[in-house]
This record gives sequence, C-alpha cells and structure tokens, in this order.
Amino acid sequence: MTRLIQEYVTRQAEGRPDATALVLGEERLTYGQLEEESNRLARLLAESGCRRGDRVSIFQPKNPAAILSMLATLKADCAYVPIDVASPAPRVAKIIDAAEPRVILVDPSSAALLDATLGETELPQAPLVGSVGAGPLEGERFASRFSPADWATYDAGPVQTANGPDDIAHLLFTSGSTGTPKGVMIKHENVVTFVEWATGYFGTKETDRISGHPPLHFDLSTFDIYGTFLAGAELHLVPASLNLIPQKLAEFIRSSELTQWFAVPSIFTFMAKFEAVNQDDFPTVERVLWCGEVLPTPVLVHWMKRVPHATFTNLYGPTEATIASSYYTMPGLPPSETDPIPIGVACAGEELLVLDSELKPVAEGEIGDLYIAGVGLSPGYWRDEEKTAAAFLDDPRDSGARIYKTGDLARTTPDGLFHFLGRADSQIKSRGYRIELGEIETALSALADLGESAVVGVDVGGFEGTAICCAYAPAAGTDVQPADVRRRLQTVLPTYMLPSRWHVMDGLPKNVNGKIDRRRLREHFEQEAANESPAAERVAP
Amino acid sequence: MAGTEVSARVQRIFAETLNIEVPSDETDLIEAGYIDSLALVELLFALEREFSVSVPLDELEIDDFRNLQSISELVAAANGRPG
Repeated sequence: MTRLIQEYVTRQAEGRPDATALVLGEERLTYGQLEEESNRLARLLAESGCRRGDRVSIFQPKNPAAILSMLATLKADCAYVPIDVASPAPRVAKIIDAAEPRVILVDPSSAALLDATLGETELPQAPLVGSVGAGPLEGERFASRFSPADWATYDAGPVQTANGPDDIAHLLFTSGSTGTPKGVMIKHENVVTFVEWATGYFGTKETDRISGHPPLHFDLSTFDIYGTFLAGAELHLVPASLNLIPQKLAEFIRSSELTQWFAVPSIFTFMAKFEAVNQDDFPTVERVLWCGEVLPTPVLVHWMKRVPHATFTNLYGPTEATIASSYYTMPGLPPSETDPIPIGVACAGEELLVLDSELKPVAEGEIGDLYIAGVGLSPGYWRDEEKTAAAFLDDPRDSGARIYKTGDLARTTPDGLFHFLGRADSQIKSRGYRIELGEIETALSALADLGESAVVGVDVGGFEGTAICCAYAPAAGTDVQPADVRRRLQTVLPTYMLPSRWHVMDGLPKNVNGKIDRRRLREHFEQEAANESPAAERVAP
Repeated sequence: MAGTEVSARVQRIFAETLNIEVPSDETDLIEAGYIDSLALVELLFALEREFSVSVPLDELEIDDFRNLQSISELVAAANGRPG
C-alpha cells in the first residue's frame, strides 16, 4: 500500500526507468530522470535548511520542472504550495505571508513576479530562493542560492523520508470571501485514496496518455499528476495559451494522441460553440472527464455525438474533500437536453449527505445542504481554526468523525443519484475557477473614488459559466470609468476574477432593509444579456 | 486605412467595449493576462463589427493577438482579403 504520493514515481523508476512520465512540447522527462533529479533536489533542500513540515513555494508555470520541484519537496518531508504565476503580486504575497515558505523555487519566467511579491510581503524573514532555470537567477530583492548545476552534484539514490500518510503534502489556496485566500491542507492519504479509487475505476494503464489541462494550483491537477504516476502513464501538459483558441486545444488532443481528456466545463463549451470538435474526432480518446462546475447538457450531447467512442464522466467535489467526491458516468446520451447531469454517487470511502439546518437528513427529493464525509476530507484550512470550525463540523452520527459543509445545495432522486442545485452563498464558478464574490467586493471597496459597489454572478448564457458583473456608483464629484476600475482591480486580482460586465449607476438599488438589492442587480444584467444576440450563441447539434 | 488609425480604433475597442486599458502597443496581452478566452471572443466580435471584417477563430494563431500591433495587422490583412 502506498503511503506517500511520491512513491508512485519511485516505483515506476524501479521497474520502467526509461518510460516517459512528462511531456511538454519538445520537452520530455522519464520516470528515471524524474526520480533521480527529485532525489538530488530533495537532498539539497534538506541541506538548505528545509525541515519536516516546512513549506516550499513553487513559483513556476505548469511544466516538468515544476512537477519535479513538487516531488523533491515531498521527498524532503515538506509540503509544496503551488503559486498561480498569472496572479498579481499583492495576491501572491498574501499566500506567501500565510504559507511562510522556507524555500521558494522559481524559474526565469516567474522571477519578475517573485521580485514584486517580495516587495509586498510582510514576512519577518525572506525565504531562501532556489532557481530551477538554466542558471542562477537574480532580481532586485532576491538572488538564488542554488540552481540545477548545484543539485547535479548530489546523490541521486533513494531518499529516506520521515513523513507518513497523515502529513500534509500540499497547501492549495482558494478564493476567500473576506479578500484573503484560504489554504486548504491536503494530506498524502487524501490524494492516495482518491487516485487509487479513480485509476481502478477508470482502468488507467501504462499506455495511457493523459491530459494535464488545469493549472498546478488547481486541485484537479493533483489527479492528472498522481493518477498518471500511479499507472506509469504519460502526462501531456497542455500549455495555458492554447485555451485562447479552441481549435488549438483540439489539435493538441489529436497530435498528442491523448487517451484521457479532463478539463473544466467552460473549455468543453468553448470548443463546442466554436466547432472545434469534428465528427468522430480524437480517435485515441477513451475517457472524457469534467469537474469544477456544471456542464450544460446540450454541450455534453454535442461532445458525446462527436466523440461517440469515448465514455463521459462527471466528477464533483470541492478542494476541501480532495479532487472529487462523487462521479457519474453517462450510461448513454441524456434523454433530453434540458435534463441536468447528476453529480452521481460517492467515490469509494466517501459519503455525500443532504442535510437540513439542524444537520438532519432531508427526505428524498427535498433540497438541502450538501455535506461530504469520509477519506477525502482535508484536515482544514492552514492556520485558520475559525474557518476550519465553521466548515468542518462534527458528524452528528458518529462522534470523532467530521463532515464538510460544501455550501452547495443538492437533492437525491429515487435512483440514489445526487443532483447539484446551486450555491447557498455567494461563491461562484467562472471558467472552472472557484471565486468568492466577496474577494472581488473587498478589492473594489479599497478604491477611494468608488461610492457604492457590488458584484453579482449571472448566468448570461455564455461559455464562461457564471459571468462576473459589477455595478458601482462613482464617489461624489468623480466620473470613474469601468476601464479604469478594471485596470486597478487587475493589480490585485487574477484575470479570472475581473468583472466582464459593468453597470455605472448614480446609486445602487436598496431593498427594504436598506441593503444593496443584489436580486435587482442580477435582473438588470440578465435583461441586458437577453437583449444582446451574440454570435455563436447556439451549439450545433 | 492607415496603420495608426487602425491601432487607435483597436485601442478604443479595448477601452470601451472590453473595459481594458492597455498600456502600450507592445504590451504582451497574453503574458500580462489582459486577454483570456472570454475577452478574446468579445474582441473578435467587436473587431468584426467595427471593421466589417471576418476573423474566423479557426484561422487564428495565438501570436495574432499578442499585442495591439499584431491585432491591427490582423485587421489590415482581413481587410485586404476579398470578402
């Protein structure tokens, strides 16, 4: 039984050192290379002062060196913190301040971001910086203390580790409603139990060629990476720039001869609306998986008809319960395009519960709050007992066990399937990203020339899922334009959190309690969207 | 259409339609995170409206909208094509 997630690579390296593990463009790393290089870097990390339980931040885009860095961190008995290198420095600084990494591993493309981040952090002591680029790196606020030439001199043999299955493998930061990202702690055991179930369920094998579509700070990438390593398959990393052109994504699937394609629904919708998928396309693809938000049924039907040789599986689950907690494999084409796709049944070792406000089960068919119990549950939020206590509750049926409150609403049907019915709060999903509208509102409220402002999520029928819509009133005597507001938000928020629709008002509508009437704002944006007739609105059959 | 005129109109589309202020003609819109798939699709619709050209997504390269200058060149090329 595997105890630590890096052991998958060690096992493949022992039996099949020359098999390819990672592919990005022309770049390839075999299991043997990945094992030896990560052993070397792990030794260097330990010698640089990394102690068991320390954090190592990965300031690198999605590439083989970043995954190598993650493995080395684990082998040094530390937890890695993948950084979204497309995020602005002030937001990254909040994550660094919370994680307090001992070491930061940076590559040349992220050196400028690191410099800017170090200018914003409030860390008492600057972390040690290591370069994973070709040579040493230097910025205004840092100079790398080691680079690949240094770890090349270290022993490549197996590394002794002290960590066990209950130790933290990584911290994944997600949007926080008060403006500060929350770090979800994920244990080795959390990942091991999911990937062992999933690779068994999907029959993942050595000859598989698996997509690596989500970015590394997204928990779905954990399945791509460790599922691939468990099976000894090949992980084909999808460059983020391809997301701009659906035809390029389709070409990637074809030319990489992928057998598994796993992405967020907005990508499926984008590719369907722009006719990127041909009839009987992607002949090598056996499995198509999605997770992260609702996939519109017409888009699924489009894909199922165009790629009839593949199986289609919906995965559901928040980061706090590790990758996914339930699954539903389509038994065939949905009977109707208006039927939403169920989130299915719990994965092995996990349990889905629909409860009322007193934590009592609701009757079948009734809508309630969706909770998750079982092996996937994170120990909680990094250094935040309050938020942990609010979301991870004692299991009312079993003292000592816990249940996680997802914030999602759900109900069950007589066939035993669970159905997702939206959110109970103001968290939204846009292009697969989980976004707390409160984080955007917090950033807006820091702008002095705005009077009132509010952000609402509206389904405008576009491919992005929920559109982020901002209404604001300029402060008295000012005439601040949306482009200006957007520009300033961009300095503190990642692009995927920027509102795409704007409404400038003299004052925001209020409800009877004097609070901003978000329902009326939503109606305004819905009406506005309905009055437009964007091209490529419909999905071809 | 003079190149500078196209460029100014493209810049205006960014500011007024997409609500994106681009610092300069050479700013790398993709690397700097100004354009994502959503903004790109809106941009293409806006270019088609503004310049009465057809810019099919399946004929595009990522470098075509790397910066304001390359977008202006794209529009100029689309303009020169028989419709």
